[in-house]
Amino acid sequence: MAAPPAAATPRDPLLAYYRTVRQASIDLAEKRYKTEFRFRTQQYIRGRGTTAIIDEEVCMGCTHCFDNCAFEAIDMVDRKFALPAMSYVSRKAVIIVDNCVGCEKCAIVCPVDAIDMIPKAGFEVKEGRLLQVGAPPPRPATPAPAKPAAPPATPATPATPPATPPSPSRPGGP
Amino acid sequence: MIPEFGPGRSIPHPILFRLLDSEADDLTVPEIKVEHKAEFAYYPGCIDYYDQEMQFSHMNYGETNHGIIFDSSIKLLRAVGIEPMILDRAFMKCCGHDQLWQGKVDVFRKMRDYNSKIIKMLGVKTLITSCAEGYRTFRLDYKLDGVRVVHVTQILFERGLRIPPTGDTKRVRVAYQDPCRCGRQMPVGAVFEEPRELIKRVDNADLVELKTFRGDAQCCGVAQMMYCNDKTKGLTYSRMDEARDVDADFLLTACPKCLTHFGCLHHENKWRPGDERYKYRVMDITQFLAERLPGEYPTGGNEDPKRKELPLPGRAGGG
Amino acid sequence: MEIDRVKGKVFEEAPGFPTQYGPDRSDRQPGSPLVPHETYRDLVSIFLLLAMSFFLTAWIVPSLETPRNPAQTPFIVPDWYVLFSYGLLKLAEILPEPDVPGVLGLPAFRLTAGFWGFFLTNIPLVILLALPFIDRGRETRPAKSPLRSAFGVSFLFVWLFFASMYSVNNLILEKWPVIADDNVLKAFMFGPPFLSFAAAYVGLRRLGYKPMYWYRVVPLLAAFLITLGHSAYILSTIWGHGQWGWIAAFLGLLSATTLAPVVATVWLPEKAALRATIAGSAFFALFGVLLWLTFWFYSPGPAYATEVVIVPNMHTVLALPVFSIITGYVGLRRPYSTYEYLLNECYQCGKCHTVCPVTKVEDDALGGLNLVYNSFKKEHDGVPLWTCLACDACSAVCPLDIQYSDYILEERAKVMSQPAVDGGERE
Repeated sequence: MAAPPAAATPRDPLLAYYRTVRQASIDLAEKRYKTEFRFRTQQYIRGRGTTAIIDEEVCMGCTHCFDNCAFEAIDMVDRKFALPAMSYVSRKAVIIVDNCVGCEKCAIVCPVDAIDMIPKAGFEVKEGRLLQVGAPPPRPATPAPAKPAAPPATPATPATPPATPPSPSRPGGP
Repeated sequence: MIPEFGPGRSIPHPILFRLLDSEADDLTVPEIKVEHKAEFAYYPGCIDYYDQEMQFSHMNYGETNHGIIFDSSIKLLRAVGIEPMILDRAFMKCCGHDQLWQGKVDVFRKMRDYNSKIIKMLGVKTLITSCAEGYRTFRLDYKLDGVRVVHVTQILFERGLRIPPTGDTKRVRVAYQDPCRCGRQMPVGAVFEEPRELIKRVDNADLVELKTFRGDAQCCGVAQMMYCNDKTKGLTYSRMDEARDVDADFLLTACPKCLTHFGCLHHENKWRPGDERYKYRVMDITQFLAERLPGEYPTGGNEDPKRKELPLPGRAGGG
Repeated sequence: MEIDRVKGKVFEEAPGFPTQYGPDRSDRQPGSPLVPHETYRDLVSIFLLLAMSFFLTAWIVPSLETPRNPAQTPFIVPDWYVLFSYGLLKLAEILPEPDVPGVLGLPAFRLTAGFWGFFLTNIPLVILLALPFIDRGRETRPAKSPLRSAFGVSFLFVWLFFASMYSVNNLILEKWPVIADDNVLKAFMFGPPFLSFAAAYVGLRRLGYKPMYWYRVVPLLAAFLITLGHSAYILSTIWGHGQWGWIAAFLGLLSATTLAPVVATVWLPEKAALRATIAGSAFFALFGVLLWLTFWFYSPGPAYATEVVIVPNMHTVLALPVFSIITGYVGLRRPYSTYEYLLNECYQCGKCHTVCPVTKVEDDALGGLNLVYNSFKKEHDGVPLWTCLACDACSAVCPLDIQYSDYILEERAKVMSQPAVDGGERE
């Protein structure tokens, strides 16, 4: 949030006018931006059974999703672009599906709409609700964790703005 | 919509564009309390919105500072004795340039009619913009009779802006990117020489010309915010490579959009610090001049405490 | 030093033109340069033909007899292509013949009619030679450079034509005794060129879809009045000086027929002007029929003389309605200013393609094809509708100044299902 340095309002009315207008302009932009941002948070299906998918052609490698992902589910890979007149090396984002929990944060912050949320393997959207189809995926062959395993999955919450938070889950497992 | 090349999901900053388009729907002209009436009016445009976009999405971690253009313009205008009215977003809408060129012509029309009404209502004689796209739109696509539309560099040059000696002995090489919109695309009133003259007035700045300049200047890569993909980045790369080939220390531009594209690529380039391709700074010409003008920013300088330290790209400061 | 590495790549001291000139143009097409390749080739052909000519002249001697003596041999009309010079020589009689005093040791001489004739003859030649240096504009189409084209039409065509006609003035006066005075023929040299200049300028200006301002109509009006005065003068010499009533009626009717469509074309919107021109032409046709009937039923009389004047001669009086019809026709033929017509001017030179930055980065940028032309033909040329940056680099180098942005604006608006907006006026 931008704020002018702490200074008393100048006594010159013209300067006061400029300061107030500037601050009002910044505050207005911020307020409007936040309002619009809220709409964006409701844009994607959300839930445990979703994963992000990146359209690589649209992705511009700005790394914002990478910086915002709390689950290390995104990695930046180097790609060499060969164009008719020149070639250069840049980056694209790729999703590591195993780690993705479907929090949709990357999709929200992507500035070019390159990320979409789709149902994970084994989940499906039926009648507007995200449902698990068939048996839950097998547990990976890892040593048994100290705590007992979580109970089998129940249908996740539907794809409307979540009234209840999604059921807690550990990454990589049901 | 044409799936391959159509607009929509490929237009960068969808939040921003939805915001600007939705603003156009409200057509009621509000009651404007005129605090300071002048013949000159300054239209900042979407500068603050881009600032918000950058900050909100943490794009470039605040390296690309748009809001400073607003403050620098006011400081420079006051230095030449102009005290403009500020036509800010409280009652003006977006100029509509991007919407016009993206094909959303009815949105543009709404914005145009609304803005023209307000400009006439306020009795503006000279409209100053710091954006090249705004300059072109107000000059060519709006029918503002009796209003003189001028870019900020033009009016500064006209009024004889002088930069006092900075006392800096180190010479800096300054390259200037001619925006398409205010240069080559203008059949009348093209802005080529004025920014160059202003740069020359800074005593320690050496103006160096890029490989293509003035009318031949290559586009910065993205126009009307249509796409940001590897192809547009290729063009921005080649333009920034021209600046690198000239060993520039600064790359200046007269359009906040060009600044955005250069800034994004500049930031992306620092993914591996120390291995940077572009070691120069990218900024708007108003910011460059205002930094070298003594005195405070009348509007506060757009200082953001969070911007003081710029984290390195990547999580926790390092890829 | 590092600076030397950099200096070769940029023009630090050279001014940058808005359009590209010079050897380092970014749109330089591959191919063999004029010098020395094509020059050598041309020289070879030239020398070959010269050699053939010399050979022939060495063997076949032309029959040259004694030079012509005007007192002995009759009048010979020269070939048509030098008639204009002959006519100008004759015309030079009207110019004064001052004595020029001798300066700096040169003897005094007299600027005779012969000198003036020689001087006048060389004016068109000098203008033609100097034209590439005077007219440096990029526009090639007549509609886009109306001043130059109107000058060409009136000066290089009409004036020279009438000069050629003047060269045989004695023959004309013999054949058509109604043109009683040599001065009439001299007047032909000045009236029609102005008239044609005005007509061509107005017509081209309209065809070039530029707006018509009132001050551009003034020369047109002046030409019209000149023609009117000239016609009145001729008619008064033919019908007699007392017949001003007939002259006024005749010319008044003709003027109304003529002036109405012209005025309509200039000021009225298209449809109304079209109607006015049709009405004017119909009126003229009716008028012609009336005259013809008068000729048949009321001969002899003033109308008889009029018929004798109009029918066998392309007199200036006839120019009036023809002038109006031409103006109306070309004035009303203003095309739609949609991008299709504007892009149709393209003659596929390929310059736009070489400077377009998008073609350098798009995968399917086709080489050698033409950006503007292919857009007009709706062919994919590597810059499909949405990837265009609208940076106008193509328009900056186009010799026809085609604005590619017209196409972009209109097509994008169409796709987004909006009618295209009419932006601000481009001057």
